[in-house]
Amino acid sequence: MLVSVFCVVLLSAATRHEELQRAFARPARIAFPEDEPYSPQKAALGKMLFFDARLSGEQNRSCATCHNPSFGWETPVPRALGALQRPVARHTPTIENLAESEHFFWDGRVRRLEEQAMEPVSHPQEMGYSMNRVVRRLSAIYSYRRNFEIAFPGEGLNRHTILVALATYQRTLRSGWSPFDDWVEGDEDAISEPAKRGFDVFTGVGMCSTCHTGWAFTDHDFHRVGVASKDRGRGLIDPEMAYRFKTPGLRNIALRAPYMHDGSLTSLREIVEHYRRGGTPSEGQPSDLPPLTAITDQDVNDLIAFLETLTAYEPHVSAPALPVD
Amino acid sequence: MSIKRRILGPIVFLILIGIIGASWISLAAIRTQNEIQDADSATLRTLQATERAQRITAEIEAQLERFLNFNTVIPPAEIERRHQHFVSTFKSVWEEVAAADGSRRQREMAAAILRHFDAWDREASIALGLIPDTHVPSRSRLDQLSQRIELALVALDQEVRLSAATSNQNAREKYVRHVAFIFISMVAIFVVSGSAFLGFSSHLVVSLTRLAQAMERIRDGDYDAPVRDLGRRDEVGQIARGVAAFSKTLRDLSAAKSRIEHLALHDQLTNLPNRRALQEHLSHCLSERKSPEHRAAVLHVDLDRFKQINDLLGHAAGDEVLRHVARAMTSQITDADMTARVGGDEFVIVLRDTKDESQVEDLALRVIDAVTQPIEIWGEFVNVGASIGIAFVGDTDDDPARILSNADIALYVAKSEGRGRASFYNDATRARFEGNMALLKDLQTGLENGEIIPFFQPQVDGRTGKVLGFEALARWQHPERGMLDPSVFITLAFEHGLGDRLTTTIVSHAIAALVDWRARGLPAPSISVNFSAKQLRDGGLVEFLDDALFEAALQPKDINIEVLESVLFGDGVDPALNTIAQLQARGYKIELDDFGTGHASISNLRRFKVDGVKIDRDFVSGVDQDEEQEMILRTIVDLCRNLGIECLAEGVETEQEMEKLLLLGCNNFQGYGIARPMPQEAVPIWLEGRIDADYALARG
Repeated sequence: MLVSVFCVVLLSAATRHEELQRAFARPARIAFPEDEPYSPQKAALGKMLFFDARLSGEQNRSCATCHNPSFGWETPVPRALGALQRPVARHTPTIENLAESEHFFWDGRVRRLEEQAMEPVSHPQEMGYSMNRVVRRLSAIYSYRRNFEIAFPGEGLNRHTILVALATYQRTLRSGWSPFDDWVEGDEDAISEPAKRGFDVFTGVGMCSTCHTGWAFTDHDFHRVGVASKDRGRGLIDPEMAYRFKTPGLRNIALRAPYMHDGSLTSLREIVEHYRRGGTPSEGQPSDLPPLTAITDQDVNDLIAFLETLTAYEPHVSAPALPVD
Repeated sequence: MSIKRRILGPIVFLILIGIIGASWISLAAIRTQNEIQDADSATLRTLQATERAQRITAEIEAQLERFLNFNTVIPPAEIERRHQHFVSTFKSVWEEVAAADGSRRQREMAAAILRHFDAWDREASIALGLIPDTHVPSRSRLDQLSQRIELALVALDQEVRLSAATSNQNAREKYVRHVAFIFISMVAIFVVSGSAFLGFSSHLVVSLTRLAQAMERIRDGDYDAPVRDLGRRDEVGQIARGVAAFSKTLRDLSAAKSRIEHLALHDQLTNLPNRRALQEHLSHCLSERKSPEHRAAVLHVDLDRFKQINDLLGHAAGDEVLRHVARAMTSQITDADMTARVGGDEFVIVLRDTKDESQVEDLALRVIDAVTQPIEIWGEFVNVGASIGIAFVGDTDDDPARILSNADIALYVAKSEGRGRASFYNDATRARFEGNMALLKDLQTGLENGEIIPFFQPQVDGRTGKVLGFEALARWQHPERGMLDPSVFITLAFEHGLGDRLTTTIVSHAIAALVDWRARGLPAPSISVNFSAKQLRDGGLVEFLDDALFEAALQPKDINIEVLESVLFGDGVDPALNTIAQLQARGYKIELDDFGTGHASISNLRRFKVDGVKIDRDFVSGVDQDEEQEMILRTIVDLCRNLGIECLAEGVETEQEMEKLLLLGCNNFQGYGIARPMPQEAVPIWLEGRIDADYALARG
């Protein structure tokens, strides 16, 4: 009797683990669009461009200025300063794990990565430049021309190839391997017991995994999460989607403070407490989320411990050597 | 099988087993060592290849890392070239690993690693843009794949090491099993052959112990001790047969030794103990001397007339007599006593336990009686006499020789007292013996100094008064004791071997006297000289007389040989009779002296026809007063006349006797009545006086 009970328990445990693996296993490959195939040359070129401040008008800000890889490709302030030396409208979102995404920016106003890059370059509040000028400026540099010729044989440096290179590079950006991944792979010792309990809360009473789903912990959809702000979010494109913002992935979340589209929450605990009470109900900005009355303080701690296991072992990204002549 | 083989065989066998075992162990050790070394070198090669593969993998991943850092734009051809370089290097290395010897699992693992590598290579090629694909592997995917390769390589490394260690362990265990098997086998063989050897050894020890016991018994003189294992074919059998042979030889030797001892201590003829045995026995008796009441006695027995029997009947007869005598004497004594033969006809009886002299004397007389019994030899009866001298073992006489000497003295006395007697040794006999010895010594001196001279007693014809001759009678002019009669010294001289010398002296003096008298023109027709029967029996008497007469230019008829009538006792084989015949043939005249007192055989008297007899004085003295005596004398005289033998009466002293003798027909006289014996110088005077008397008588 005992034995059969024990077997059932074991079986159920094993079954649950397999479900988890399926739910959270990282995909082996990154899908690239057929019209813009991957090549390492394109990716390398894209990385140069990503780290090249010459893409900004004042040649003082590159993409990486705000999308700092050390902070999970974000900026450790609620809102970064733009080209006009004023804080930009929203908190810098991460650019990791975006190859599968169909919407870009907090409000998802761009549908392709090849288009997305144009906006920060040409936005006066951000990099304050234009693609045409970028093409001109870079074409003056021999090494860029040569590298473009390698990456895009017969096509060379132009507005399109610049965007493709940047998009290609960004598609390759995947958050690094984390203790949680090891746990998913079957290493029970990879994360602590509180973290495991936190995972149960995350997928259970916390209902976090309702939106933060899949290996990247996002449903790539838009939700109202009860953040008191005047920003209407998705509502700018679709009135029905007012105050909704794209669900960010949670990988490397511990590196990416402060949080929310406005950077209003400074710590993981604040976020958890935020969702515990069902967001900040305010007029005109209702939350889609119910308060989580079942969650205990212990669950909060466990949940934080779990979230910390999503931080990659090696977040470091080396800087490329930029062409100068 | 011989013991040598049975001892050396197992030892050689065990040595061979030991050598084989040691060689086997060494061989196994060498083989194991080789196996381990081969495995080690194969393992080492595999490990080195694996290590190189690991290094290459690390480098290829590092290169991939560099490429995928996207820090520089590298042309695809360059990337492909560099990537393919490492890939082909890895593959070539991996071919080595795959080619290397190893377990199945090892080969499977190597194949798996190659599959992993190929999978990684494919993914990496996509990531490097070498293979176009819309789905590009993520870094984590590549990391996973490369990690899989690394882990597999490490696993392979460990597997190789483990299998090497295992095979080492197996080889060592196999070696240990080998050694254990050999060791146990050797121990088993050693135990089996050792116990067999022990069994054989104990069997051998038992055999040897049995032999040793038999030898011990043989050594102790038990030659009948049974010797076993005689039939065995090994050395024990050889020894046993040797021991048996030794035992037999020892038995023979021992028998021979006891025979020799018996011979050394016994007289062969009579089987009586000899002188040496006697001395030992006597010494023994002396050493265990008992109380004074029970003294040991020594009887020295000497046979009388044995010499005669020996001479007459030969040595064979003498031997028979001796055996008879020995039996006779032995029959008279007890087992505790001893009879020994110490000389030709001398015996000694030792009585260990005697009460007194009378008992011993009785025994001695019984012995004499037994010895004296007639003995039948070859149909004839002979008898011998015996004289016995007895000496007691005194308190002071510890010397056997001394006691024997005492008995000898007693014997001497017994003999000199007339034989057939037993005489005890005592101070008197000793004194007498010593006196005799002193006299003997004087006699020897006297013979040398010419103290012994003949006196001459005339023999006359009673009818005519004519002198017939003279009898030479020995006289000793002793310097201290004066003139001595022959009765004092003649027996002494003959008993001690001086008889011949005495006779020679008398004969030469007599011949010289005869020559002297004849030269003076005196009537001296012949001289009579006494010879003993012994002298007659010894050869050379005829030649001696012939020579002496020849020198003196005399004839045999001038000498009369007087012998005692006992010489005619016995039969014709007596050499004395032969000598008498020779003498008669030469012309000597033979006269029987002291006729009538001995045992003369009348048949011999007739056969040898002696020239005359001299009738003993016992028949003559007082013949005129005794008729019986006269009748005996008449018979003798008649016998002589009838046989044609002259007769002469000795010891004639008175005129009456002479008249009676003449009347009976015996005309020849010798005696004091005629004349006393006189020295040579007195003879001419006596003869002249005789002539005057004859003359006066003729005239008167």
